[in-house]
Amino acid sequence: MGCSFVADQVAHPAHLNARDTTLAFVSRASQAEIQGLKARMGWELIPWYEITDDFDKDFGVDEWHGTNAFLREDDDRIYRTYLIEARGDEAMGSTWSYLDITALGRQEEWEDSPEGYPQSSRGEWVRRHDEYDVPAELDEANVKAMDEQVERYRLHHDAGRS
Amino acid sequence: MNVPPTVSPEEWESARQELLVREKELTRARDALAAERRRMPRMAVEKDYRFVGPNGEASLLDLFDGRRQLIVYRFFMDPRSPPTPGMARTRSGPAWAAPSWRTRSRTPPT
Repeated sequence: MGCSFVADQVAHPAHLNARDTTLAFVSRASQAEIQGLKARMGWELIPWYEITDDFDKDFGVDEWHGTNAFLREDDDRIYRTYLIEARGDEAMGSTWSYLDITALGRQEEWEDSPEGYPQSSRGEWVRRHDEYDVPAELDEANVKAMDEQVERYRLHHDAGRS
Repeated sequence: MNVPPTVSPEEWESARQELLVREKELTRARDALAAERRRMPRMAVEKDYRFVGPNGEASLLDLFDGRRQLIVYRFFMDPRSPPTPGMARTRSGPAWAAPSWRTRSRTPPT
């Protein structure tokens, strides 16, 4: 499997997209080389790119797999905010583990983040992967159900259980 | 194989509660670490990196796909498992495989 194992166990990218975050895979393999594997495994949701220059060397991923996080400002200037590799990288794949290594985090109010960071209430933004684009009025019922679920979870959690 | 003892539901629950204390410590420590990560300094990307995507040439900015944040996973292929059945491979593996898979001289970092 090698390090394409990650592609076989990664969360649906729609959840990251809902937090204004894109997930991309890069390697030295050409589009032609990767196409067969992508089609066979159904890995069409995540964009795969071929590295053509020193990107891997400059960002510490030329020897082994690793995950870099970047942030784009309104003027389109790009900043590298984090690198995670080795055993740390092996934990990547879930929406939460990915968001936790980003500069903005999960963007939820309970988090201890610097002043002015985008935040919404816990779990409020979460939908099924094909429900993020539904119109607001149809979405209302979903939000209400999710709020109730979050409240039940909170009560359960506050009662000292896991 | 030396397996742990089989116990009653009460004893099992008590053992779980004992471990749960440390699991919660770990969860809180992970949250604290993530909070520190959000205060990490950042590094400006000055070079104009180029990639080849499904729709042709792309810049690092293109990889953002209009969103504010970008997560880039760099992967390697294991030559033991060819990308498509029957794909020819050399003993050293394809050129784009991880160096360690090609040379067997290095074990994964821990």
